[in-house]
Amino acid sequence: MKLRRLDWPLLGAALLLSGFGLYSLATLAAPANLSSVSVTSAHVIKQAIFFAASLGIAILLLVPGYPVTRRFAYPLYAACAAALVGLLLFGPYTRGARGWIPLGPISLQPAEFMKLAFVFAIARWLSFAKDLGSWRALAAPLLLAAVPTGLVFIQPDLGNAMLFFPVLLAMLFVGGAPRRKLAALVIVAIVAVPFVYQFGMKPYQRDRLTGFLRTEKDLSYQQLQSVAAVRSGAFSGRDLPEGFNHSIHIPDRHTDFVYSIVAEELGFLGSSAVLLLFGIFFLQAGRIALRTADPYGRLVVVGLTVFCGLQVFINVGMNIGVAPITGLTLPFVSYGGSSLLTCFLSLAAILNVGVRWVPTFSGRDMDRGHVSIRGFNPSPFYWFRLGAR
Amino acid sequence: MERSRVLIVASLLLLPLAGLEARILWLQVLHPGGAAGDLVNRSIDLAPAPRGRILDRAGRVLAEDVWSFDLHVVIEEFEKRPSARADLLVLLGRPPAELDAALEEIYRRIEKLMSQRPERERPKIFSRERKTPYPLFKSITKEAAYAIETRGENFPGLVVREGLRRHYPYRDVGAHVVGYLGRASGLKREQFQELLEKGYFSEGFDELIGEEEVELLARRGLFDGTMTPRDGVERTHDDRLRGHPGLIILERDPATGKKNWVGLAPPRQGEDVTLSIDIELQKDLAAILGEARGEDGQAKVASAIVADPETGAILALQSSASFDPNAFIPPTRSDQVDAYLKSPQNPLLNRLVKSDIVLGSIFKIATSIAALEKGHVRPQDSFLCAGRYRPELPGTNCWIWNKHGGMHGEVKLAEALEQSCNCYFYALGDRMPLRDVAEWASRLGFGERTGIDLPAEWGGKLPRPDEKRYARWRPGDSYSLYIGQHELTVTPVQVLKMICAVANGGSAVTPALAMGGPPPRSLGLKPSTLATVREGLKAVVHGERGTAHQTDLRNVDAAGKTGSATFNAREHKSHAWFAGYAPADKPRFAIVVLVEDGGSGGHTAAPLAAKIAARVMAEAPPK
Repeated sequence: MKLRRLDWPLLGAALLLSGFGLYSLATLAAPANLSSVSVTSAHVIKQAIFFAASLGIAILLLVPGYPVTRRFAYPLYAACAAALVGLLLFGPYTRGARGWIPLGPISLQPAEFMKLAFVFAIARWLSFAKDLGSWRALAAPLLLAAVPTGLVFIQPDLGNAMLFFPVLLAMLFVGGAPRRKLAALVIVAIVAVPFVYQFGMKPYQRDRLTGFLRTEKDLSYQQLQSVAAVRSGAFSGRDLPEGFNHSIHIPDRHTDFVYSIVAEELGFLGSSAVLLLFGIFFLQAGRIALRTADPYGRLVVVGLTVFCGLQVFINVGMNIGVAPITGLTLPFVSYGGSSLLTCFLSLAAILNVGVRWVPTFSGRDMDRGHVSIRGFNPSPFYWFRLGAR
Repeated sequence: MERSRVLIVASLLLLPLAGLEARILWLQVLHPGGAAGDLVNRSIDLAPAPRGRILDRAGRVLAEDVWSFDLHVVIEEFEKRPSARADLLVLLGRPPAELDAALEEIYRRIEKLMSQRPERERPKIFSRERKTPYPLFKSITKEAAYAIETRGENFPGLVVREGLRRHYPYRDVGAHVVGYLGRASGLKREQFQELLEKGYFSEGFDELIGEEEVELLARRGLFDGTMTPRDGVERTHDDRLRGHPGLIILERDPATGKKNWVGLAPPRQGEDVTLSIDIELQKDLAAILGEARGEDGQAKVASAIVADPETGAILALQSSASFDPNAFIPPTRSDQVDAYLKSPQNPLLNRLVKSDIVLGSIFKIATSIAALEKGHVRPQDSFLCAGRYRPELPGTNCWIWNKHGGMHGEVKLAEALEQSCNCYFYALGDRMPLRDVAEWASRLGFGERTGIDLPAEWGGKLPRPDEKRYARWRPGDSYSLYIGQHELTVTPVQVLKMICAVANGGSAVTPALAMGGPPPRSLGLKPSTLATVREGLKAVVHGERGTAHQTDLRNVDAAGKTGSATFNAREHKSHAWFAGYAPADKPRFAIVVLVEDGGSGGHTAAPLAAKIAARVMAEAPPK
């Protein structure tokens, strides 16, 4: 492994996003900020420790080559599925859902780790699949996606449950499944949505899901407050006159509504910066996916990036009133150990693929003559030339 | 191919980012908040919902919610200006001590809230709560409210909110029927928690603002002021009566004092409940009972019920030991409540459904019905009353022997009821097993709750000789039971239930206040049984030797039975009872009167019953 092959812009974007997260937490914990009184400096310290630990783990994980994950993809998937089943059977209720395993001072969220295991398993299956043209060949990945979707849905954690299927579609698409088959799957999913909505959901879930479709006046309380906070940030951040307080109280502000803090404190400049950093993240990840010669590595990068991207859209969208409240966190920014750790594990996997882009000289890439070896361009602006080969 | 597909996926990820960017551009640059009108302090609050009214049978209001102006204060803003205190005191015309006490109460609530949270959160909670409106005074004058609302800048930190206050226009008349309310904070901790968990205070709020926020509202004491039912119909029909409060966001501009609401959920008004009570009759009943005197000439606690014997619908239910339910509604008149609690008459106790009291001779009706139904005696059978039944048992003397040294001679059943002859019923008892009496007493409703829609009804006590604890049952105990003494205890509504059955031709009714109770259920009495008992009861009032004949009752077309229930044999103290109905042949009203420590039923309870019967008969034209 050569350090200069590391994708520094990608790592930098992730670190800056985590910095935004810590900054938001710190403003929320400030004594004058009353919008979430239960958040104190203890939360900031805890999150800083999580951040340092996650970063450390991510760096260590650059040492072994990512093909290790291919070898252990199925056992990892089985372990996570077992953890989810065990959670449903024996798990304690934490705020109405059985999504967390309490372990002393921290609690783990198996659904987060399932995302990684899911991507590894699908990528492994697709990289060895001979022919994706038949329905029979697509049955296995569909089943691999249905298991975590169902298990997480029952918890109930609607937000995380609905991520798996779109990620599967993206991976099948990149993995070379025929467009017609994928289009059929999308249509089936669209048809299924109203049924799940009507029969599979509790009334409050339906309310949350469709709340944002109503006019601005009818937004849910949380979203109303959040949008008000975002607007109050204006161009360069909120400047509170004497006598006013941060009384825009938003429940779960440090987890689900962290984006509204950035938007309120730093205004349009800050909220744009966060989006820009995510943009850099996606571009860099896309570059790695393009450049690598290993289909497994490419699929892993695509899967993890799409997971991350969907969470960004839904979370930011719900903060600014254009997406439903689903309880999804904002990657790298939101408070929470499991979420942060998963983000850095994903980052480590993507960077690892980037570092080891040397072709494996196997699989279909060989056949199609796509093997090409090019040097690493260290210019910080090279992502403008996406796809230039 | 795969590379082009990667490019497509990458652009699909970047496009929504551009959309989000456009949205924040719109929100933060093109339509930014934080301008003068938009920058406000927000707090979440309840929108009060009126409780349903309680109406009498003619639609007259017995209890209703009236709107009042409540004054709330934001401590931080209020304390910032030194003159605010003096201005407010002048405006309200209240003593400074009252304001100090109210402010101290708010600080106590804030401290309580802080004590429930970890140490490190407390400073923030303190500053947040100082910026949150807290109730200061309830029911301020309209003038003061207008002054504060229109000149907000002169009264920093003061917020006028419309609030609701329960009002009982008839005060102590019918107080035991209507009941009263109390603040939720006055409940026991577990009761409060239970209601909170059931969503009594916050039904539907979870979905709007999330469970966590509801918990926060509860911690902040927002539900403490919710009025919860304590007694009477307010409690039994709370499900229908109670309103469901709405949720609002209160926005305040601390610079100008301007306020605005954002509604999250509209309040829903409670349902009205119509009672079978006739409040005019109830009023007259209260006046009649207020004049009750015992045989010793002292004022006594008298209670009475008037009901429709066919349905069990209660027309009036009153005790002379009553209370004003308005005293319990905040601002509570605590001196008056203390007086109620300390009064030896115990006015808060609804003795008509909760008292545990000896019945006396009225129970002879049950004994008679049991004997006739079981065929142990025929109406024409007679026994000899020689004044003393079994001389070796001094407790088995007839009352006429104890009082006058006399005797009743040969008496039949109807005559025995008329003269309340004890010896007859002792003789009857010797002819039949005790369990037959217990069975019929139970069927007539003794020993169990009648099911009246008033809270915490007491079921009385009916001794059942087959129970184990009556293993040492002595013959004297049986004799006492036949005439309604001994361990038998009842409530006046149970007596009402029995007398209704006699009056309506043998159906057990469920005494009820809200119209539309369960239908009467036939007991399957023989017509001859009823005829004999009713003949006896009519003779009590109209017969030459009837125990109630020496009263005004004989001028009314009524029937009934007196009772003098000894509760202190050594001092010869007894409760005076009367249970009857009018008119005697086609009863339309059932009446039960109880004068506690009143002495003889014929002398103290029957005259009251006479006045009551005269009153109800005067209004109702004879059919």
